[in-house]
Amino acid sequence: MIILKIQLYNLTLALVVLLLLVILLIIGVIIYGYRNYQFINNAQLWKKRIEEKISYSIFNGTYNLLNDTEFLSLLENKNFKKIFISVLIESDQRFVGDAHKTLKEIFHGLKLDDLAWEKLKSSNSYQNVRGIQVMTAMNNRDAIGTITNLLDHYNPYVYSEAQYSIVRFNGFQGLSFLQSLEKPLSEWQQMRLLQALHNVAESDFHVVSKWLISTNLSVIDFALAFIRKFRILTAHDSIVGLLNHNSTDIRISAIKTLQTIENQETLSILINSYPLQNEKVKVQIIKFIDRSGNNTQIPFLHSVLENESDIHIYINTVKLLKKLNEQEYLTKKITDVNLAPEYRQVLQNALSK
Amino acid sequence: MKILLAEDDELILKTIEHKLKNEGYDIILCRNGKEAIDHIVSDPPDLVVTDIMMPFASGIEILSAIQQHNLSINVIVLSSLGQEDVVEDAFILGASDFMVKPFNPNELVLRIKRLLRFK
Repeated sequence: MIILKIQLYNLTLALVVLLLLVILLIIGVIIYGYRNYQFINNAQLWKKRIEEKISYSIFNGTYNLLNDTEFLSLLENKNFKKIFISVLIESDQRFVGDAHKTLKEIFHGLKLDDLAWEKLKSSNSYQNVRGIQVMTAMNNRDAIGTITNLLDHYNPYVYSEAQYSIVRFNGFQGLSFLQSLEKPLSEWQQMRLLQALHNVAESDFHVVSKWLISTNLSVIDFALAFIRKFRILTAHDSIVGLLNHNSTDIRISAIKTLQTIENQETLSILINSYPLQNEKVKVQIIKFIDRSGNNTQIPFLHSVLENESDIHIYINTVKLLKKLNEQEYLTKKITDVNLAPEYRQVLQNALSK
Repeated sequence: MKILLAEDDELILKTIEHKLKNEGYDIILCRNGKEAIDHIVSDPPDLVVTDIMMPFASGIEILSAIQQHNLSINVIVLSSLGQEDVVEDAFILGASDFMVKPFNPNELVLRIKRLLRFK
């Protein structure tokens, strides 16, 4: 009986302790949730207030912001500081020109560098990206060395941001990482890098021809986009060499690029290369003739129509011949008894329009 | 003069609003495309500045609505990198001008003034 009583006592004690622990846990969760809720609530209010201050400063100068002591006292809170920096980065991604100068003035005026350095040197990749963005946006050139080291980072977000940053800091010279780049450059990244470049000296053009022989296809693709943007006429012959490249995409991109730096020989080079190309590239050549050609290409287009069986090539050639006023030839072609029905349909469609 | 700003990015919206209000314009702020179309149809502004990508209706849909209702309103389109094709569509639908983000807000204001001068 006594033993049973002791056991019951122990069991009750254990249950009470357990209950207390559960209650403590619930209280802990409630406090944590409340603090989180408060932080989110504060963060939204802070963000709105910071946006309001920054957008006002962009047109009216930084005096109001840099002298608002009540607002600046909030900067002692690390969370507020973080939100402030992220709004500054967002602003930098939206505005250029004088607005950008204002943002820099705010950043340096409030001495926000320390937090940016902390992020840049963090072991967390996400923080590294934010750190790079801040240093780039605020043009803090002291950070170039650290950012350059991040070009070899394992995380694609970090090295992509580092690439963009270095180009923004150093312009064309910042692209030197392309010489040895093994990782692919996404299309989006290519666009960002190109957008970050404004002026390129003619003496730098020779570097582009090295990119054109890269084993990394995305580097070649970037080089072609670069040539299109800056219309590097001297690259014409190097691009012609790409018409024999193993990759169909590169050959197509090369033809599109030739369109922007075309010279008197381009059309005949493309027509000579036509028989050696696959269907996709052939279509691109026909499109090139469509934009740059004239009546002198009509005999070539006739021969294409006589010899090609690919429907896409057929459609594009028929359209082009119609544009070049070759209705008589096309009408005659319909009457060809050996013509397959789908080709006849293409001809009828073109002539009826 | 009344200007309608259609943009889901609060920072851009507020920045342009500050400047244009200082310049003496009446500003209507719309944070989505549908709200913008409703405003334009019920009370046409003198000029519209619109983002291309927005919730509920895009900038292209705003231009279509303006065309459908035969309204004579200048429209400046704000586009992002890589939206060149959409900008082309915007011009076909009657856009007067466009700017690519990131943009210079001072330049946008100058373009707005230029278009309103011919109004």
